[in-house]
Amino acid sequence: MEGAEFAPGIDEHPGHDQAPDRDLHPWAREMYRRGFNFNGGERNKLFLGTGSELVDVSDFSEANSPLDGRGLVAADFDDDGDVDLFVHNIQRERHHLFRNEVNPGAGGFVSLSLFSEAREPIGATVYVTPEGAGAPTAQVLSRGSGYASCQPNSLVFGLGEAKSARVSVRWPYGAVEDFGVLAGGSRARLMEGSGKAELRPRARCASLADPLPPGLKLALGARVPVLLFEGSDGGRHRLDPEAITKDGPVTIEVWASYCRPCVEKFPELIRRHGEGERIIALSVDMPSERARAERLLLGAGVSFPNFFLVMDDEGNETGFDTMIDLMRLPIPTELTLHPGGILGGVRTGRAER
Amino acid sequence: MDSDPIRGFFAAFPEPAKLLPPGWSTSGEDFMSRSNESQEASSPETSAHHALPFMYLFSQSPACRWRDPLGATLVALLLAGCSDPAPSSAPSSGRDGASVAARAEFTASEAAGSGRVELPEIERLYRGPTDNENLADTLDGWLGTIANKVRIRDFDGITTAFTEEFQGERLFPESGATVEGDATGEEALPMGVRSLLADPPVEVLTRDAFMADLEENLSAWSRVSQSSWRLADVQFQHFKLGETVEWGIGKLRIHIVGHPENPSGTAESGGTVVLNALATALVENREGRWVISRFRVDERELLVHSGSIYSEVSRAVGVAYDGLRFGEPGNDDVAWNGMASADVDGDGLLDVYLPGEAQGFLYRATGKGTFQEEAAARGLAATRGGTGAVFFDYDRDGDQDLAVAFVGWRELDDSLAGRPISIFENDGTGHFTDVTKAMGLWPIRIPAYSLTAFDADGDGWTDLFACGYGRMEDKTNNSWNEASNGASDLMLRNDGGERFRDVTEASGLSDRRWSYASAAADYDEDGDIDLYVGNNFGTSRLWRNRGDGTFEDVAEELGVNVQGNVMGVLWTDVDGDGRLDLYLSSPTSTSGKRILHGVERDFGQGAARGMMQMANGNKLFLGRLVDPLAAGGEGATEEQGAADGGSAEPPAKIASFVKGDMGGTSAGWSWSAASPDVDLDGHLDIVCVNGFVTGEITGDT
Repeated sequence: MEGAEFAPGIDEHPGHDQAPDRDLHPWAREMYRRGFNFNGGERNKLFLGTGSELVDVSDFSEANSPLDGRGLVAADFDDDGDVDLFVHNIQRERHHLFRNEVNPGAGGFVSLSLFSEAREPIGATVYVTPEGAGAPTAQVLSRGSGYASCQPNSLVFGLGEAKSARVSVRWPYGAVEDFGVLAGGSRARLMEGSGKAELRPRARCASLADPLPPGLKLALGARVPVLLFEGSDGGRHRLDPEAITKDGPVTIEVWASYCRPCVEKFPELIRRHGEGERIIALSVDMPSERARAERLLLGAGVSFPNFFLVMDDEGNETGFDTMIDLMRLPIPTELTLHPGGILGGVRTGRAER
Repeated sequence: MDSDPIRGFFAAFPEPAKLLPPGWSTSGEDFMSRSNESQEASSPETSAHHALPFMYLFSQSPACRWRDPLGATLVALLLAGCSDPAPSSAPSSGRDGASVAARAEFTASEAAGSGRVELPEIERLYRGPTDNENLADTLDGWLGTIANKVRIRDFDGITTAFTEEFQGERLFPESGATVEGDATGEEALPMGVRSLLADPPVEVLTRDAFMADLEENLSAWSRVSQSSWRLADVQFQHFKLGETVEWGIGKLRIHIVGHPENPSGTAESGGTVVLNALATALVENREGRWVISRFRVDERELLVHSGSIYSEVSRAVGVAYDGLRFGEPGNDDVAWNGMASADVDGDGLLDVYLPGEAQGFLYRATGKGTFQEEAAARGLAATRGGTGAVFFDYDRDGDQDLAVAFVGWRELDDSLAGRPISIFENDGTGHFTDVTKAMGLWPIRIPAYSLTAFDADGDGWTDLFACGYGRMEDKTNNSWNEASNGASDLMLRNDGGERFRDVTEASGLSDRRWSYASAAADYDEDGDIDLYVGNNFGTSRLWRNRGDGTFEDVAEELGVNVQGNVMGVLWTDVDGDGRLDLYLSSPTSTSGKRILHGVERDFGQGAARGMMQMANGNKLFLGRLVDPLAAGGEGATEEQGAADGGSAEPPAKIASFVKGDMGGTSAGWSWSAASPDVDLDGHLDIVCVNGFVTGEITGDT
């Protein structure tokens, strides 16, 4: 280890198992250990600018996780012309990547990277004036801003309805340089002193992968754990995904009696079951609601089996917690288990197949 | 015991009249008349002797669980000695045996009448502000549990929050939770978000009807992602010895967010519906249990959006990392981690590095819309425990090298342990070598958080600034608003890519405030790069570069000397004038504001102004340039954008800032902020991440 031979007594950070506990007051450590909130549950915010005001649209963003973010990078990770978000949280789901759904296509933005022979152009100010706009919008190429975060050398400017925009750069220790007019949808490298934007094609990459439903903790292709369910009689049932899929795929329909779309989906499921699809319903109703759930099943004429989520307070492993965060999962959601107990497909809502 | 069951019951209470909120009496006749008159709006004075006596008293008896709010069945039960909680003609519960669809029919039939819910007035204000706040705190916590029940749609659980004699008004507009098409009072917001200001409610609902209406609306969604019931303000009736009921009037701020299903069956959001409501409630503490007996909806707004702005794809793209709850052993170090992004392997795709407690993560883009974690394979395994990180090309060989900051810790012998700020050289293919020692950084150890790379002295080599903080076990901050005992910030001069040299003193950047964040930009457009440093427990600094790598603090002169707690610094241009604006992340606190509001109410306006400033959240300062040659040398703010594409150098100007009045600052306890144009409309937006520590237990400490 480099540190050991260079400076005895000054070691590398040994990692958390050996890190000292003395960075917190005992009362604070106890408070956190016991799970108290301290400005907790505060969600990420998105304020949309209109030029004259910043409008809070966080609730509509689907990027408003409450998991105590610290680091943040806003960048176009799939080079599709809109800006995605990567957040570093301090707990639970530590790394969150949010895909921007604007999907501008061929126009509506310019994406710029800066280069200079004189120096790395950190601190350069880029000005973009969409056609017809009265003033430019400025962005700074930064390396280290926000809190402990570093944005990449890639600045995306939206053009609104404009088809093109004029681009200029104020270079560090240099001049303001005009790079002319770029068409919407341009991706360009701006080299100091060249006076000309070097257009580049979109990077050779696919768009960021499609999302899984919120609260689903397994990725497609992952092995589904053994699940513990309860029948209507309260008896426990062990569902081995590998065993039940030996003869083909099985659909697990996650639903609840308090969810109207779930109830309205019953006819579709009954039809599919009648056509030979193997379906298991899993009600996530509270124990007090189970009778109601069973009445709904009975009333709808459901013939495939239904089980209930085990609300196990005794620490028994039910498998479900490792697969799904019920607080966030949209319902109805159907999980398709493929042979081998592999999660092969996920669908939400009532949409017919 | 008295043979008369009613009189006998009264005998169990010391003096019924003292137990009741104003406007309530103990007359059964009054109850009947009150029940009818609740349809009319009447002043507190006129309603002073029209009350709900039996219901109020008997609802404290677990034996009496009738739910017929209309009065007749109740009175019959009372006269029968309250011995049998038999079902009345109306359903005994809003939940029993009925399908979701049937709830809708139930709603209309169970309204108690038209008009507004009336509330009693506080006659004897409860004790001092501290006691009031103690009660408020327990009430606020209880409201949090109700909010949680709403979120998981535990309707039986929600029902227990309301008394059997409850009278309330609809939370959701009559048009329902999924407004479609144009609606009266609609306002269009960015990105197609529509705002509908609903008319005031016109009906007084019983508990069953209220619950049925709530269920009707909430069951339409595929998920409820948020539910917040917070106490904005409350006053309690003075509580006298011998009384068994504490009660007060609370202002509740209710926020519910739901999502309809996605009709395509895919996992992107099917849209969002937001209910914002301000309600006034009669809250009572009955034998240690809070309940709501009257509920008036003062304002309500429905916001609707049919699409999704973002989708969380962490697991789908391979960057999901499930960690521990903060506070559990293994994740209890407040050396919070940041992150950095660059194209480390030259394939044109952005990769991401994240320091962590146990390991660092290098997510390399695969080009297939996914990432692969390769920190160990690419030489970054030793970066565990890092805080801030930046990619930059320190040796000017054309690739992106990595610097990582560490907080370390103070050993018992007073030595600072842990890694120093570390440099990892990129070989151009995204493989890194630790060159910290060779670059002269090994002996330089400060508890460091954010890093900012920039060419401070204009020599062409990128230098490195580190925010010096402190170690709490070493010494705590010696002031909450002007602490001066943190570690000094650090300016590391890059000597030709051969070595970093500590030039903190010479550059004028020596400062022992507790620094969390920094960002560099040429805010005054004079060609060199300036630096804003955000401090915790103290005043933040705007370091103007004199052009030679030495700096002077102009924060006070330019009005950006924020005193308080700055956690993040961002240069942006949110007003789109071509001038750089400054956005600072800072904490705010709902509870703190409520407490301070109480202090100002009791001790006068302005009594808590200083503390309010520290609890007020993020700050926005809009940049302006002033031309000293204009207006007879007195200076005039230049309105026109600077870089209009011309090649001429701008005349000498000085910068100023004005406090931004654009919104966008109320966020919580904010940390990092960024300013992309999310919707590509040509206006920069603000994204910030928030929260200090979210625990298992609901409620703000």
